[in-house]
Amino acid sequence: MLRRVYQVAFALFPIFAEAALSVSPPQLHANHQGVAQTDVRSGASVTTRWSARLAPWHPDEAHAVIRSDDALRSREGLVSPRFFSLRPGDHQTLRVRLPADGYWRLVVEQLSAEDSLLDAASGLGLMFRFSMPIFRSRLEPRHHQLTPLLKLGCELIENHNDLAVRLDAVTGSVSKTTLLPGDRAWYCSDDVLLKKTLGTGQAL
Amino acid sequence: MSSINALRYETSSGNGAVKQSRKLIRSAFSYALLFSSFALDLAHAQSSATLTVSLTVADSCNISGVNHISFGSQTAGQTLTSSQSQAGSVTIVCAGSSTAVSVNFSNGLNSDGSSRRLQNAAGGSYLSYGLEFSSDGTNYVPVALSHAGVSVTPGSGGTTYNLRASLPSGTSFVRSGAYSDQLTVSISF
Repeated sequence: MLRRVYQVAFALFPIFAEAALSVSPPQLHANHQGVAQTDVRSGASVTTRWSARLAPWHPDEAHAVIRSDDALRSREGLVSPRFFSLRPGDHQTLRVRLPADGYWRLVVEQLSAEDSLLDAASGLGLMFRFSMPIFRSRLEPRHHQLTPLLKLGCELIENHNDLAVRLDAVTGSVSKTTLLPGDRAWYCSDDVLLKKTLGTGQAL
Repeated sequence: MSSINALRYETSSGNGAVKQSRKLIRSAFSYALLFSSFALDLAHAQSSATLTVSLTVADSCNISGVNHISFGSQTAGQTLTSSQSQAGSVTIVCAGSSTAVSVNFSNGLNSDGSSRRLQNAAGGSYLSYGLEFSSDGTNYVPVALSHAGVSVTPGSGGTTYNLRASLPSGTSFVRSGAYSDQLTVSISF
């Protein structure tokens, strides 16, 4: 008698396609009219679909804040194009017109495609999202080289400038690399921040 | 060029060659006049303009990674006696200025607030899985839910960051079917 064996499938067949995207530049600078642009190029082996939108960037948050679709709908006209497809090797120029005030990021997010292998597979699918800061002044971000910490531990750094500051660390880790005016970041000796951040799940 | 050769010839040959050297000088002078006249004609015939040539080299970052991690197949009714891991990777290459990048992993689509979960395609059945990240390929640290992100500074030669997903020991495969989840990898510049 044949024994019925039920399979628990995590993958119908092995799929290890590469998803790749080049962005140039990854940090945008708006001109005097508040317009910025960047170029994205696909290195993926299949056609990928993307959305682009503007997201507010708050000083107390390390990453772009991904609001609900309702909150972002009013900003749709500020990014062009909003949706696009990239065949392997294709590129697309994205243009952004900034609102009058506030700090913003351009968020480029991969969309699942009905005809992609990714959706047909079980297992763990990975989608990519790119968040790129947009600076208003050509002087932004100011660069600041952190002084290496001599002992194991962390230091709090605060940006007292009027412009955004980018932190460069030769050794150690920093919780946020770009600080808006008034923003804070932790600078820690090697591994301390990584373990603290990932191990506890708490934002520093 | 010709006038220089004539003078050198004179100093190295003495009186007997004076006439020949003078002849050479006159010849060179004639050529010089002819060429300068030709150059003047060209100048009058062409209008001049200043052309500014500029080139801006923008920073660029390339991010690549596998878009799928497979756990293979298991038999319903079995229980894992040891954890089962599968690896993936994210490679970041930045050219230009050293661009610091923050890498963040979402909670997936099926999290229950305490762990990430694969969901049965038919619904109603879940399998918890763990996620780990390594910046050196050796030391893996768990990626907790809603973690703050990992700051890395990739080199221009490319830096590969490793990702590992694992089903913990004791996982029971009660219900057959296809299980999946979708993670968003956020790259913040």
